Amino acid sequence: MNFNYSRQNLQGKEKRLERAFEVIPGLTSWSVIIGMTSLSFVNPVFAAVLIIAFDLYWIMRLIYMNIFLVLSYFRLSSESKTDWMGLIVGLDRLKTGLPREEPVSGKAALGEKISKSIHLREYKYIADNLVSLPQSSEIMHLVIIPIAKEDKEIVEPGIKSLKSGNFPSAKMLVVMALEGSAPHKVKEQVYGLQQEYRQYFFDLLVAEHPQGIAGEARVKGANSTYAARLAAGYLSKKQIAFENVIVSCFDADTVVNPGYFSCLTYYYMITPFRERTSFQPIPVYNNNIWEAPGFSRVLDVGSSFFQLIEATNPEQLVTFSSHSMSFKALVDIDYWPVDMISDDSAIFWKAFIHFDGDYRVVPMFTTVSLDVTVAANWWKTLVNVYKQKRRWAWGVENFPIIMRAFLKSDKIPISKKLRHGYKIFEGHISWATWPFILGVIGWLPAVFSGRQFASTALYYNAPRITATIFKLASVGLLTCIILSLLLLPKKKIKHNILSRIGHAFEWLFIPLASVILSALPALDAQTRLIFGRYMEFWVTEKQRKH
Amino acid sequence: MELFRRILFYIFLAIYLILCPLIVMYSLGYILSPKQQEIIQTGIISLASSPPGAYVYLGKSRYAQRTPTVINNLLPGKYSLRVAKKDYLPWSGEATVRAGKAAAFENIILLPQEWEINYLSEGKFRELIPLSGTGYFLASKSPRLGDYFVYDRKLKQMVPLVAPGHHLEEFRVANYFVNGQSPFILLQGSLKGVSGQIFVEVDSDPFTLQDITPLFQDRPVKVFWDTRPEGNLFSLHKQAYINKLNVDSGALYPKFLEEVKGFGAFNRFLYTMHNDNSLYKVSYDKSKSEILESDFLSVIEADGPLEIYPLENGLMLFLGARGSLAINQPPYRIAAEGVLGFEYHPENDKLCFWQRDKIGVMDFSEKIENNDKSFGYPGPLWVYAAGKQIKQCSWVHNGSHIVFRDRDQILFCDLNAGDSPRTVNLLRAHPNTGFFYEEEEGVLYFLDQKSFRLASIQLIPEGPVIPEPAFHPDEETLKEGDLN
Repeated sequence: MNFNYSRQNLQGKEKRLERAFEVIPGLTSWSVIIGMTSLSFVNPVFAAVLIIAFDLYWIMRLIYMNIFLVLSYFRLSSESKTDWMGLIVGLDRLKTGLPREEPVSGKAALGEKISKSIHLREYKYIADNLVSLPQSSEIMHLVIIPIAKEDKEIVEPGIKSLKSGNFPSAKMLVVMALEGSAPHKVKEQVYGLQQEYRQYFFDLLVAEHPQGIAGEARVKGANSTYAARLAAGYLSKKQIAFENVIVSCFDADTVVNPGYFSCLTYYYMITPFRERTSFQPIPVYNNNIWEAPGFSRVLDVGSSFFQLIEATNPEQLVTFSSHSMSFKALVDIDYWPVDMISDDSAIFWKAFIHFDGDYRVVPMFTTVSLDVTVAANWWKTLVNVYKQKRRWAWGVENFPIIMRAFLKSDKIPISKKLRHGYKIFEGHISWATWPFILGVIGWLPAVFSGRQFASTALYYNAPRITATIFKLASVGLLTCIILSLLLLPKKKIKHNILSRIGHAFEWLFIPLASVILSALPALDAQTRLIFGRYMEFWVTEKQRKH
Repeated sequence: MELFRRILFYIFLAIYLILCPLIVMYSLGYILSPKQQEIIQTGIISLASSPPGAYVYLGKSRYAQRTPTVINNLLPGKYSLRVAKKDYLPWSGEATVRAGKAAAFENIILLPQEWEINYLSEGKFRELIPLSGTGYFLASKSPRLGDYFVYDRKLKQMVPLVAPGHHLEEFRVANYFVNGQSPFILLQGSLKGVSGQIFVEVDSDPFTLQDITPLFQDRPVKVFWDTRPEGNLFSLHKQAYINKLNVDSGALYPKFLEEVKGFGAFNRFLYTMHNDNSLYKVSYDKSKSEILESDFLSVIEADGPLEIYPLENGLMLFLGARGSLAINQPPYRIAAEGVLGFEYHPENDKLCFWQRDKIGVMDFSEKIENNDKSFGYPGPLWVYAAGKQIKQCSWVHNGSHIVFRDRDQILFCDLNAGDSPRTVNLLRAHPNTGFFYEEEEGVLYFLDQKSFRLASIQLIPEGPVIPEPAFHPDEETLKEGDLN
């Protein structure tokens, strides 16, 4: 569908529709919060019943998500030793018949066995369904690294990780998308990095994004788009077909797993409609995790968990943070939105709408590592985490545009419209309201109860039921603690059992952190959208200690 | 994974759809009765005692858990309750359980079988003067000011009001005025035959004594002040005028207000009723003045100075010279005559008042609908009517009990025991003087009946005085069949 994925330059009915949809999420969240609070005073009995029903729904959803978190983590760890390059070679040989099934060593771990069995099934599927496979030698990687004001110490580890991965770096075109407004020192460092690392790649370009291009806002998507257009010209000159190019748009601090590009190449090759697909790794926040305050660490590990859970539901998966896709698809949809902050998810929706719903995300069980938000001191870190979460929650800006597109499109299947529409809406509402209901509003009927409510059986039963539900929730919390300890990288120094126990206890801050640093910024973002106070990009401060 | 996810989703959905109504019904008290094989709505009894850990008996059945506890799944009906603990007198009461409702007994005080009396002084005292609501009381050995002491709860000893050699040491106290909730006392008396007035603040260190005799040109009927007077006192005189006295500056404002037949001071405002039955609220500097509604004033017998007491809940209480008691909202009149005193409990919004032979309680926490569809407060609940000469009452344990003095007997009235409050004798005290109950510590101070020494008992067992909110997740339930 030919659709302008933007809120800019709308006229008449479209503009009114956009504004109406901009108001809906925030209005709903505020209605839930104010409505439940008021109900707690006006009709505490009804409020208490609603809260019990909600608490039960929440705990069941928590258990449900925990099951998939464990499964997803197991899948991720089972792929940790996968020889992706070997699998690619195997794919290249598929044309001459299925590769010989190598017996799995009896000593191999269960995860390894499962991984091999999964990939063998994938081989068989390709063979049985005659999926056309590109030759791995034809595949080229385009990596875009947007840089606004990040120092060399933030950017260089990412470039090194590209060079030292097990996929040949000579098949990678790396573009450092440098904001024209970046400080002089940063620019110098970027050009220095180009000189130092150019020899290791197919090429290492610097695309300096000029300021003030018409129609652009000060957002990362504009910078990435400028770099991608430059890369398109470069690839055309080199006569490299876009169909064979996989573009990965990272953050400046993204450090890829050594097997990332081979894993990506493998998934790209085996995916039947690869030009209608994005590829989503699991983002982990390990680069500076030991330097971050507990609340920041816990929240970002929580984000990784969320992506792990989402990875088990590819039907509704949406791109987040660093991800990859076919360069041809990117060019077809006219690159990233240049006026939106949430370019990572917006690119999926733009493609989804452009291809009339025929677009999806394939999860990859490999990781990319990013920085946890860390500032000069605890308080600044808290403020920065708040701003970062608000920026993430600003993804709600996609909702009105998607809704307009859904209303307009008669080709996107209604089931997909409903499923995706509900998910994005419910996701943002629950993000902004659940922690408030669980942590604050849920207790109001008991706290502000009048004599009439205090003399009911419900007054006595409700806290007992809630306490039981919260006890069950602590089992979920325990799962998170264990997985977080397994997911965290080994600490280089001062690694002892006490510090591990300390990190486990950080999870006890989750109820408070989820209200202040998750629900509140989400509500803030939605409220801004209600009043049309659109956000521009704010570069998250990240620091690493030497 | 996709199929697994879908199957699991529908399983969870089915569980939720089954569990949710069941849990909500359970929370409202509905259970499946094994006897009747039908769904019935039950009720709850919640019990908490001081001290905790007492056994609970419902009829003849002993409940598995000790106090504090909640007994749920009880069929509607009447249950006899007994709470017992070793070395304490058992507590018993009757609970009426109604469907979907909770009968709360969360302020049960278990009294020890034998009181352990702590003697706090060696010498004899003749009078104990409580400054209710302040945490202070005075005790005197003789009318001489040098024999007046203030009890210091931290030091647990009596501290002389004036140091030996103080120029007021020989001042002889004949009368005094106190105001509820205020740590001040006005002592009237004489020094070397010359009458005088001493205004004392007992919560300052050292105690502040101000000789304000020059501010009294003629003998007042009553002297009153605010909880925190900030130097301003008011004296009501026979000729129906009020003088304003500033004890800090020594300024006297004679006939500050005239033609006054009722008076009160609260939150930096004077409340006055004038001879024409108009009710005014006037600031201390007269810069603000407003007339308050006066429709109800005809029901008040103002056959002498009328005391006006604005309460924290916005109500105004009127105490007439002959002991009539009224409020400014329906039912207006609480008692026609004979009320000797009252004590208001702001947290519970209850008022206890006493006459010579009985004690009444007014509950202002909730209005009720009258037969004529109008709303008003319920009339007084008479909680004790066998008195001989009731002199003093005090709220105890978050307003759930009343301790009072009837002649030389100190008694304890339990308002928590169900429909009929129970009263027990605590001990005998000096017959002509007050007691002091300190809520924070749960200690009752009194003068011993025989030795006249200052003594105390731990009325409320040590620990949290205010009961924890009802939140007892681990209790077991009695089988419904065992009880009915």
